[in-house]
Amino acid sequence: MPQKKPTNWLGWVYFASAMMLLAGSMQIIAGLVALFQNDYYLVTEKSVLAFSYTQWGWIHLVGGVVVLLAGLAVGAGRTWGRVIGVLMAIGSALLNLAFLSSYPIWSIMIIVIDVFVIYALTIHGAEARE
Amino acid sequence: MANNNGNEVTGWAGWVSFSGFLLIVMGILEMISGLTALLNDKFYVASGTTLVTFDITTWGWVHLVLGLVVMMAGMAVLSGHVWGRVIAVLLAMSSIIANFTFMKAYPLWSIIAIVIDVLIIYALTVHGREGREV
Repeated sequence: MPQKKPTNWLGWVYFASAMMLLAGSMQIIAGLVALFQNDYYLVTEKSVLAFSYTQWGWIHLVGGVVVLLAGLAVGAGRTWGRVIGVLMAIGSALLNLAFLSSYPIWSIMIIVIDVFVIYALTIHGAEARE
Repeated sequence: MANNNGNEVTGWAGWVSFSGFLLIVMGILEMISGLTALLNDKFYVASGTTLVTFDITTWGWVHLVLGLVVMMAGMAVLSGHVWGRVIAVLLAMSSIIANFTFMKAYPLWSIIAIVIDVLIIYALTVHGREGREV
């Protein structure tokens, strides 16, 4: 089979990949801050929803690393990266909704980037070469 | 219409100029926030101890150098170099991470910088190929 020439629209996949790398890094930063410097956050441990800062820290850290790796996979054109990317973006948006009170601007920013990731991967994801 | 390489210039090359000029604006913004951190850090809302990773002076130098490099990348993008686009996307990503971490010092500046960076990444990844090649 002749190799299919990538179209201009392949760009969306790079965009999604860049957004996933960013969302992952942001979440890793939020996780590290929760683990090591949680007085940075605006509310005390008692007012955080569901988990303690240490637990939130690990959740953010692991989630961020997975998103980062999936972002690299998307950039390399892997289908599983796109599937994981959408699922993780949904998960990360929900987690950040719960974590919002700790530092609203960070959470809002990550949620907005998650929406970009979902948009780029669902609407334009199939345009990548397999 | 053709450019000096004899290739057709499409209307979409406008996205490349757009990102080039945004990169220059972005570089100047970064340098302003870097200089503010170095020369007038009372302007910032958060004091040194409440920032992540670096103190305010280190942040000042980080922003200043990053801003300068971003501005030069903008000029490279405007002159149509492919490597300029690759470096510009990487720089815009680093600038987002820097501003995300620096958020507490002056949230509105950081938010504006991040929005501009996302626009730059969008323009360069989705429409970057439409520029002329050098």
